[in-house]
Formats: sequence, C-alpha cells, structure tokens
Amino acid sequence: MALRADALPGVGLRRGPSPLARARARLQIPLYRNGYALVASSGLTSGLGLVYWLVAARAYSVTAVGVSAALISAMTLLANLCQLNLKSGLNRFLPRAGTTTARLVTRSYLLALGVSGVASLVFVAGLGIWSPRLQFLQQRPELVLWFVAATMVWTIFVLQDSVLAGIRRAAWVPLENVVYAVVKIVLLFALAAAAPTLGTFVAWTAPLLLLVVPVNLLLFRWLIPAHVRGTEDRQQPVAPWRLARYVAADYAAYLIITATVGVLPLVVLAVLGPASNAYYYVSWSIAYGLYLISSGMGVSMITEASLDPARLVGYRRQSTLETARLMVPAVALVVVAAPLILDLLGDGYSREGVTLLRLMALSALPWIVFVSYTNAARVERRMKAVVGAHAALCGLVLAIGLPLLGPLGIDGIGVGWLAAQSAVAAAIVAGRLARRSHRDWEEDAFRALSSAAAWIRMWWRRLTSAGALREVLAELRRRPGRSGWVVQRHLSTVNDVAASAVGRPGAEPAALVKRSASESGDRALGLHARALSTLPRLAGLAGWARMVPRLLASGRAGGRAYVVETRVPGTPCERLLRNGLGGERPLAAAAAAIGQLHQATGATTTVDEGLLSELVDIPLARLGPAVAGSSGLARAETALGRLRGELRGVLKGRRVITARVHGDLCPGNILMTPDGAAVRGIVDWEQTRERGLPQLDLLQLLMTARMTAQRREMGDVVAEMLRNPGWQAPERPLAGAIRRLDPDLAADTRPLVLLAWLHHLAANLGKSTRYGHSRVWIRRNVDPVLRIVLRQPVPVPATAPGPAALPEPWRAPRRRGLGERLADVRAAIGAARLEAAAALGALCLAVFLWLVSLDGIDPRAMTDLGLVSVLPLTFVLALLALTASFAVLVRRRPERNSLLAAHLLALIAFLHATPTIVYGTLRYSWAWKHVGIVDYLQRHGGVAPRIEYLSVYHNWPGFFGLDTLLTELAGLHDTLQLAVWGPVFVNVLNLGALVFLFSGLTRDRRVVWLGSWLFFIANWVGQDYFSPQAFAFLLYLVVLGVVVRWLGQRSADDGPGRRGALAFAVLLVATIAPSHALTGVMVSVALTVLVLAGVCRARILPFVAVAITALWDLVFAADFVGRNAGSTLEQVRLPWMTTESSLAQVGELSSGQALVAGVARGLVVAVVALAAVGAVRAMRAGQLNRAAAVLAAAPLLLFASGDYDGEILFRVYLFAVPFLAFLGAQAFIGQSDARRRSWTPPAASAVAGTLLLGAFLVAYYGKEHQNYFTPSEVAASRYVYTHGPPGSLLVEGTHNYPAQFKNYERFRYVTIAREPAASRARLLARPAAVLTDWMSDSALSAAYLIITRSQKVEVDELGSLPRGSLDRIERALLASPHFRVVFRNRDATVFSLAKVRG
Amino acid sequence: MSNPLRWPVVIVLSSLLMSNLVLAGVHTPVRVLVTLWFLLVCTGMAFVPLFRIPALSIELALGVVTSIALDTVVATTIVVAGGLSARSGLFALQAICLVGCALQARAWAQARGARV
Repeated sequence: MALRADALPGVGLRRGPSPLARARARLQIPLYRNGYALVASSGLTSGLGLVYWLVAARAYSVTAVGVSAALISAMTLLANLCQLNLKSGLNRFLPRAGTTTARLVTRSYLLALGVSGVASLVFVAGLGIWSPRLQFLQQRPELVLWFVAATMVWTIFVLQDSVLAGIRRAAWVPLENVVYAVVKIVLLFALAAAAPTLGTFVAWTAPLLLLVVPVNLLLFRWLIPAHVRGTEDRQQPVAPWRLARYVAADYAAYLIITATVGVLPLVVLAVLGPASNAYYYVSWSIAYGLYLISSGMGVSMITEASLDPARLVGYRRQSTLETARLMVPAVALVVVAAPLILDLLGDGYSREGVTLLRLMALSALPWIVFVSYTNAARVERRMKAVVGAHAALCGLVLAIGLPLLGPLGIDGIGVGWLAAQSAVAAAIVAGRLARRSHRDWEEDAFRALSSAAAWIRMWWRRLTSAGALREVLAELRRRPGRSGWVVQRHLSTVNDVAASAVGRPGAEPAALVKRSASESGDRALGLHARALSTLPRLAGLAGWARMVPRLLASGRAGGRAYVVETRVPGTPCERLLRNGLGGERPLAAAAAAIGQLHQATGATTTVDEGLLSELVDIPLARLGPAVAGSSGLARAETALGRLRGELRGVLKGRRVITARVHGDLCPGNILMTPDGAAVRGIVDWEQTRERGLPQLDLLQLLMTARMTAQRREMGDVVAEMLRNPGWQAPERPLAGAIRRLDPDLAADTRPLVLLAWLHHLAANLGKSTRYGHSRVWIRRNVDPVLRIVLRQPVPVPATAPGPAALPEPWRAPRRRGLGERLADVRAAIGAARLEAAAALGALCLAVFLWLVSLDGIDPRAMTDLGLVSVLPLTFVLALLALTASFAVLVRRRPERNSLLAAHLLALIAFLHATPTIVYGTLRYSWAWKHVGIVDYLQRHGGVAPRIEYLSVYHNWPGFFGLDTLLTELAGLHDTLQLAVWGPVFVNVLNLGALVFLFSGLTRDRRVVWLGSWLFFIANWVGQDYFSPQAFAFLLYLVVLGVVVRWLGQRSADDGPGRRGALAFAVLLVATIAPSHALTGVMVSVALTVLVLAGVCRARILPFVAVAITALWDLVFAADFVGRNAGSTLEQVRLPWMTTESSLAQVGELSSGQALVAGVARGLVVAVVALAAVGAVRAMRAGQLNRAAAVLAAAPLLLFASGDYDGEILFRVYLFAVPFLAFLGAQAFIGQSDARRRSWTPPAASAVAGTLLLGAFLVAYYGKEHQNYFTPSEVAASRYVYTHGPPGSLLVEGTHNYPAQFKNYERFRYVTIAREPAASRARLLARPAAVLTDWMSDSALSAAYLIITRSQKVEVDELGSLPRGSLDRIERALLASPHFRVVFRNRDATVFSLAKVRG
Repeated sequence: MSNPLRWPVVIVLSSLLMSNLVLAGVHTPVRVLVTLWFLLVCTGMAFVPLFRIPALSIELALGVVTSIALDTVVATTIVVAGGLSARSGLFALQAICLVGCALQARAWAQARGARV
C-alpha cells in the first residue's frame, strides 16, 4: 500500500497475542477452520487406518486379511471411480447453490449410487477375468449383495465429506471419520471369532450404515437448511450442464493423477522386483500424507473462494501461506527423521527407502504451488488449465522417473516426483511472473520501498522521541497504581507520531503513549486529545463512548506534544479483512457503530458558503500545493478547478444532514471482536470535526476496506468507483447506510466518492508533510482520479447506488425441458470438444490396457516369432484403441496438437517401452558392445583408433564421447541403465525432430501428424537402440529440418535467420561427422540433392558438409579408412545385387524367422507403395513436395558406398522412411477433400494403419527372442568380463549375448559360428579336444568359453550353426575332464580348462 | 521473464552448482538432474538467445539440439586428445558457456546503448 496512506498512528491491539490465542483466532476464520478440519481428518484417518490393519494382522490369518484387503481395495477403487468426481463438483458449487443445495446433493447421490451399483455388479460378474482368487464371491449371493451394497454406500460416504466441506461444515468430517474408524476397530475385535474369514471386510463396511444415515439426516435436516439461510443473499445456482462440464474435466485430471500414482508401483514391481516395490510403496504412502495437507487446505480454499470469487486472490495467498506454514516443518521433520521412521518397519526399509522418502517429502513443497494453482483454476473454471497441469506433472514424473529407475533404483521415482513437481511449480510461478505487467512490478517495488522507508522513519521517530518517552513514563509512574509501568513494545506508525504500549510487566498493555515528532504531529495530537476529552461528554453517547480511548494525560515532553490514552482491546478490522473473514459482517458492525455517533449528533442543514468551504475549499486548498508541485498531469490544476466546480455545483444550497464525523474512518482504526460481529473500539480521532457529512465517514471506510481487502491503492480504487459505479457484495451494509442518510444525494455516487477521496487525501496531508512532498504518493493516489475528472463529458452512471445499484437478488431459472437441456449441453460442449474428449478417453483407455498388459507378458515364453508371440490380447486392444482414436482425431481435429502428440507418445511407449519394462535388462547384443566402448573411454579417457576389436567406434567416437561425458559428470558407475531406455529416448526425440521437419515441408497438420505416425510403424529396422546410428539419425533429421524451414525458397520467419540457420546446420554436420560414418555421407548426399533440386538456397552447405566429413574420415579416421577402403570398393555393386546380398538367406531360417523376414519385406513394399500413391495424389493436385520426394529417393545413392556389412539395404530404408511416411500420409489425406467431414478417410486410415502396425509388430519384435537376455545371462557375462585378466581368450558360441560391455579390450575373441566351415566341422565333431587345443595356448593368461541361452536361440532360429550344436558342445564339455565349470546358472555356462598345459 | 540476461545468469549459476557437485564428488540423484540440465540445456542456451528467435518453443528446441551438438564436439575433441574426465569435460564446457554468456551480455549492453 502506498506509504500506508490509510494507516494511522496507532491502533488498539498493541501486543501480539499468545500462540494459543492466535490459534483460536485462526480457527474463527472459515478458511483455516475447514482446512485444518480436513487436514486433521486425513491424518486421523491414516493413523487409525494403520491401527486397523495392525489389529487385523494379529487377530486374523494372513489369508483372511489378504482376501479382505483385496475386497476392500476393489470396493474403494470402484467407489472412487464411480463417484465420477462429483465430490469435486459439490465442493466447488455447493457454497453458492442456495435453495438448490439439497436437490444438487440428492441428484449427485442418486447418480453415484446408480453408477456404483452397476459397476460393482459388473465387477462381481467378471471376477473370473480380473481376479479369479475372489471368484468365491459369486458362489454366495449374500456376499454379492453385501459387496454391492457396501460399494454403493461407500460412494455416498465419500461424497458426504465433500458436501460437508462444500457447505463450510468441514469440522464434522474428522468427527465422523474418527467415529467410523473407532467403530470398525471395535468390530474387528468382535468379529474375529464369529467371522474369521471375512471379518476384516465386514468390520470395514458395516459401520458405514451406522454413519451414513445419521450424517445425512444431520445434513438434510439441519446443516443444509442452515447453509441455505446463511448464503441466501449470495446464491447462484449452477446449471446441470455447467456442473457436468466441470466435473468431466476435473475427472480427467483426477484420472491422470490416479493412473500415474497407480502405475508407478506396477512399473517398480516389473523392473526392480517386489522388495523394491515394498520400499517404494511405504515411502510413497508416508509422503502422501504430506500431500494431503495441501489438498485439505485447498478444498477449503475452493469452498471459500467459490462463495466469494472476488476474494480469490486473497484466499489463494492465505491458504498457500498457511499450507506452507504446516508443510515446511512437517517436511523438515520427515527429511531429518526419515531413517528413524523407516527403521520402525525394518532394516530393509531404512536401508533402501531413506533417500526416496526424503525426495518424496521434499516434493511435497512444490506441490503446494501446484495445488494452489489448480484450485484457483477450479474456482475460475479454467478446466483446461487443471487438466493441462495434471497432464504435465504426471507426464514429467513418468518421463523423468522411469528412465532413472534403472540407474538410481526406486530413488529414480523420487527424483522424478521432485523434479516434475519443481518444474511444474517453476513453470506456474514463471507463468505468473510473465503475466505481470510492468505496472505490477512497479507496484511491488513501490510497496517494498514504502515499507522500508516507513520502517526507517518509524525507528527514527522512536529514537528521536526516546527521551520524551522516558519523561512521560516517569510522570506516569508517579501516579497511583502505575508505579511499575514499563514500555512493553513499540508500535508501527506511518505518520509523524511515535507510539508505545505501556503497562505492568507481563500483563496486557494498559495504555498507549503517543509522541509527536514534528509540528504536524503536534497539531494532530492536540486535536486528538481534544476529541478524546470531548467525545465522552456528548449527550446520549455514554455507552457508545466506551469504544473511544480514555485520555489519561497530555502535554509536552522533550519539546513535543504527547498523549497518553487507555488501550482499547480488540482485533483491527483491517486484519479481519485481510484474513478472509469476509467483509460484510465487520463492515455492517462498523456502520452501525459509527452510525450511533452520527445519529446522536446529526442535524439537517442547508449547504451554505461556510459549509461549502469546509467540505470543498479547505481540503482542496490543502491538496492544491501538493498537486502543483508533484503531479504528473499537465492539467492537474485545471482538474482541481473542475473538481471544485462540480462539487460546489452539487452541494450548494442542498439540504443535507450534518453530524460529528470521525474524519478518517478506515479498517485500521476500528477494533472488533475476533469474529467481526461487534465493534469494541474506534481510535485515532485527530481528524474529527463537529460538522461534516456522515456519508463521507461511511464512504471512506468503504474505500479503504476495498483497498485493504484487494491490496490496492486509493487512486486505483476511486478511479474504479468512478468508472464503474456500484458496490461489491461485502460493501452493501455501508451502501445501504449511505442511501438511508440521503437517498437523493446517494442517487449519484460520483460527487460523494470524490468528496470522500478528497477528505481522505486532505487528512493524510494534515498528518504528515512528507505526503505532500512525495511525487510517487501524488501520482498513485491523486493523478488517476484527476485524470477521470479531466475527461469530458463526465460519465454519469446509468444506475444510482440506491436499491437498483445493489446486487440483483437471484431469481430461480425457469424449469426447462429435457430437449432444451440436451441442446444446451451439446451447444455448450460443442462437437469439437466432444470429439477431443472422446479421443482423450480412448487414449486413457489404451494406456490403461497397455499397463494391464505388461503384467501378462512373459519374455521367457517367446517363440521364434519373437515378442509378438507372447503379447496378450490387452496389448493388441490398446494398440487398436490408440490407432482408431488417432485416425479419427488426425482427420477431424488436426489442430489438437497436444492430444495428437500424446497419442504418438503413447504409441512410442507401447512399442518401445514394453521390452524395456518387461525384460528389465538391456536388449540386443550390439547395445552391450556400445556400453563397452563407453566403459573403455571411462577407464582410459581416450580412444585407441588401431585397437583390434570394435575399432570403428574408436575412429568415430562422437556419440560415445558424449555418453562418457554424461556418465562421468553425473557420477554414474556405468552407462548400462541409461542405455536400457535408449529406444524410448531416441524415439521421443525423433518425434520432436519429425514434427519440426514435417512442419517445414507442409502447413497441413494432418500430414505432419499422420506422417509421424506412419514413420513409427514403418521404421522396423531397429536402428533406434543405444547406438551412434540412432544418435546421428536424429541429428540428420534436425539438419534437414533446419534446411527446409529456414534455408529453403520460402523460409519461415520463426527461426534464427539465414546466417543463424547456416551456423546451426554446420554445427550439426560437424557433430555427425565424428559420430557416424555412413550418416556423414548421407547428410552430404541429402544436402547436395536439396541444392540440386532447388530446395536449399545455401549452395555452400553441401560443400561444407563434404569438407567436414572428408576431413574427419581422411585425417582422423585415415588409418581405418585406408585399411577398409579396398574391401568397401569391392562391395560396390548394382543396387539389386547389393539388395540380394543384404537379405537374409531364408532357407536357413526357422519357420517363424522366415515369416518375420517375409513380413518385413512386405512392410517395406507396402510403405513404398503407399508413398508412391501419396506422391501421385499430391502430384495430381499440383502439390507434390519436391524436398520430400528427393529426400525419399536420395538414400538409394548409398548403395554406392558398399554393402556396409550386409546392412546397407536397411540403412537405405532407414534414411528414406521419414519421407516415405510423409508422402504416404498424403495417400490418406488428399488435397481436394481437405474440408470434408466424412468418416470414410479416418476409417481407411485406421484400417491401413492397423495392417501396417500388425506387420510392424511382427517385423520389429520378430527377433526379440534372440535380442532378449535374461538376468542370468547377464550375470554369467559379467563374471567373465570382471574376472578375465588382460590377455585372456574368450570363446563364444555366437556374438549374440551380453558381450564386451566391460573390460572388453582385455580379451581375444573366437566365435564358433564365425569360424571357417572346415574348422567348425572339426569342432563339432570333437568339441572337447578342439576347444582344449584352442584354449591351451601358453601365451594366454586365461581362457574361457561361454555358452548362453540367447546364443542357442540364435543358432536355432538363424541357422548360423547346425541346430542343437551349442547344446551338444555344452554337454561334451560338461562330460570332459579337461574342462571345469567356473560359472553356471539356468541360462549360461562358463568353462575354463581344468588344467592348463605348461 | 523477459530479462535478456536471464539465461546468462541461469547458466552461470548452473555452472557453479555443477562445479560444486563434481569437485566435491557428490553422488546423489540431484547430480544426475543437474548434469542433464547443464548438458542438455545450458550449453546451447549460452548461444541460441543471440539469434533472437521469436518463438520460445523453437528457441528451446534449438537450445537442446545445440547443447547436444556442442557437448559432442567438446567430448570428441577431448576423447581424441586422450584426456576425457569429469573435470576436463566440465571445465571445457564451462569455458564455452562463459563465452556464450559474455556474448549475450555484450549484445545486451550494445542494445541498451543503442536505445539510450
């Protein structure tokens, strides 16, 4: 507040109340009272719930507890889902539902009862599918009945708490929950003998009836009618469709967070096992208790702000601060005491869960910001913001937490929660800051400076008047009964007076000593002392005068005036307004209190020149010099002249009521009872006058109350009142009193408002000279009003502040027919939103099905068809739902970018996170080798370009260098666990790159999204694992995106400009060149064809790319290139010949693998055909994208670079597939039917997409039987690479196992499957003898032979050795006395020689 | 946040935090998060704001890509030189970030001078 212009020298309550008194005072405020009640309810329920389960564990068998726990979980889950989030709707809309409250509650109950009844019946009917262990329920009808009834009643039990909170009676909630918890514990004991099997379930459910009936009787008979009476004047019934919209959107948010919380334990269970899940779940449950503090306080905030939306900002701030006040110590306690808390549960918990618990507890702090933001959005019905915030939070939790699950274990989830909460909170705060205008910042800075200045002045006054205070105190002590008085505390003041509370030590202050610090202070204290001695003597006001301080002494001390007055107890009205008590009651009480003075001293008079001078001229004369010197308005003096004319014109000759007035009535000068019901004191009378307009007291109070409640400046408030005449709801008592005093004068608010403002300013200028010298004060409190006065014509309000200006009473809406209501719903929601909502629902369903499916995938049961052979029906259904939803959405609502991106992210998760989650180990043997290179770099700090094995990676080390840097800086032991999530990371980044690239090729969002979708279901070649190819391919897409967007013929203006784009492109090429040889070549080829095709204007770019690539290849990698150039040149053949050599020899494959190879080829053909159709369609429409077409064809030139170890065909396809997908998308979305709303194209997309997806699953997952490595295989491999000394020999059946991931350079490798045919034949004929010969070389420091499950699978499926060869070798070695087994488990055996010949 | 110096400030603070974590040998999840932030965002954002890209999303996306590219180039250089370690990598990246931040500060000062 600017210079605390409204504040006065001292208020009545001069000493901080005790903590208990403060707590009591807080509980008087509904916001805190209801919030605390809900927090307490949560805490008590959790605590007593724990007791319940402890008792159950001791009184019942483990089986009985397990069955009952399952039933209880099912019941609560069903009830929570079936309450349809009406609890949120009730909390939001009941506060102002008024006379419709009972109807709203009843309908909500009926709806929830119906849904929960049906859902629980369906649940029981389908027990065989989702919970066969509970099928016994179906055999006993009475149990079915009990379960269904219990679920329905539990739904009501959930809703009734929200009803209580919504009608601001949350204090009942902890009471009913405690009663319920105690009764069920008692019943638990009682039923232990009578119902040993289901006693736990019965004890949980039976007390529900006992409570639901009386609580609802209480509600409907007493509490709801009382609520209706109490909010009669503020009721605003809600239309059902509005409630439905709110609830539906909020339900989506609820499902998002519930699904995330529910999914994480499943993921932890799948990845880390049951023990880790136990540690995770316990830590989460404890931290969740902290989350409930914010939630409870947030519910109360919603209720209060819904009742009085104008005070949302204040309520939000208060609830946030109050929550922080509770939360910070609680979090600190949990962080510090985490080991002790978990130690209660056992050693394992304290050993494994401490960090997680601490992280989770810390995450509860940013959660405060999240809850505050989403609850404010709920009040404002910004439901998109609510859903978006939840989606962002949960998405981040999963995106950060899941990848870290590997490297960090369960702590990774904690990091995910903390990072996600912090990021979202930071975004919320940043968003708020970004929305603040320059003026907001200025306001805050000004407030801070004002506070600092006021504080400095206060201390200066205090110091300079210290001598006077001692003098006065000595004088007081000489009087009887005051000998022991001391200064108890000094008070903050903002004018030229210092004030101190005095009294006996330890007792409440008895008096206030006010000392002047200037001449204006002398004057003010003189007037104040005179008023204090006059007021008690006024006729008829003996009782009223008790509200006025009694003058104890006055005079001069230290050369300045002083006053000693009794201290009037009470709570400043200002504090009540700021604490959210609600302004109406205190303002009504204040109006009544000051009204007694006005009534007792009032008289009717005609405004003559004398009175006119007092009312207008004198205050204007005080304001004039200040304005002339400090106003920022050029015509300020003109404005003052107009103001004078206007006010004099209105008042002159008018019959008015005059009375003694306070002259500076503001909330800071009124002391009240803690509940704001009655006034206990009115203080600071130095501006009082015998003759004034009583309306001005009331208006000044009204204006300063608005300033206080809304934290605004006087100038701002008055300008608003002039622009928008009329009163806000809490101001109605004051407005009514003003109108009753003089209805005619009150008919036009403008003159009265201007007069009150003028008197307020004049009073301040009289209090202290510094106001008049302050330009800032003038510009903030005076100029905004003068600016309005200058405007012509003067705005005349359409309505006067009489009855017509008061808030309109609510009229019940006309009852409407069902048809009208449905039409309203359709119109309100709109087709677009319905379709988006349906897509969101389908997406949620798909994700749910996918998550359910994960538990049913057993990788050990795979056949030679790979992962597709063990995918459950739910997985397929999930993909189908996702595909159908995407097809419809992309066709009909392509502008829904977020939703479409969510579909694609879900697709990536389904396709690429599934193996990661299900396997729990790194898939694909080459990924293990890449981990080995990082391991090498970590140990050696550099590369060895001439190393014998894997030397290609030492010659193009960019990707590995980056990964090593990341691993080292992050302090990780190895990169293995990051690599596990490689495919997910890579594909998510590819999605971003594709959208970036495609957006540069077309403006049609349908093509962008559909092309991206097609890419992911066409890219079956598997180059998306932890590899340099995947990394370089991502950069390749970005380079092309930069070129087509910003270096093309029609560059977009959203980029860094041509030079910037060129710099980016060069940097990316310079990154690709040392990372991956083939991609370096490909990017040069692509840039060249883009220039030749006239797409790229930067003709220098291909030259730069070629130069950089050649520089790397021929300088740093010269040795490698030189050694391999000859063989590469030999491999250069015609494309079809290379293709033939690249394709697998189908004759050697198993039947399943032959099918996989065939499907993969078919998929390639289908994608190319689709692209051709798309290209033709686009060409016919004259809109074929040249860049896409040439980039789809350009990779064919790679055939000139040799066969790339037989992989060139796959790499050609990889580089072409983004553009094939882009062109293919145009096959579904022709240009001519861009605006059609037919269902045919989406259906065609869905069918074609499903077929392609089916082929992709077979082609991509087809080799997973070989790519999957069990933990046992990893253990065997780790043994070898950890124990083998440098110079060891490692004989391996095939390359296909977790190979070379650690210390790989220590070994020489011999792969049986790669031996020449003659050597292989000798070995297979006499395994033990030949291998003994191989492994007994005296130059070797050790020799091992490893045979694993995955090697055998590869041999059997690809035929690299005769089927069963490795089994035969293994048996032979086991039987041989020359070999000993050094490591063996179910999936792997490691041999070494029993005796090494000398 | 519209302050043109926001990224330099953020990057310098992140860099200091990163140094503390690495030099003190702290091994906590926080270090992983700070490392990801530093490597994936800070390096690139030391330079990308110099291009005054109007769209925030594009600016951030390019920042991430530039970060990856610069990190890779730096890591490759050190690997080839045979001295890759947490400290060497960190110091090299910090030096690069410092250059970017200095350029941003210079651009800001020039723009301010032009306005005056």
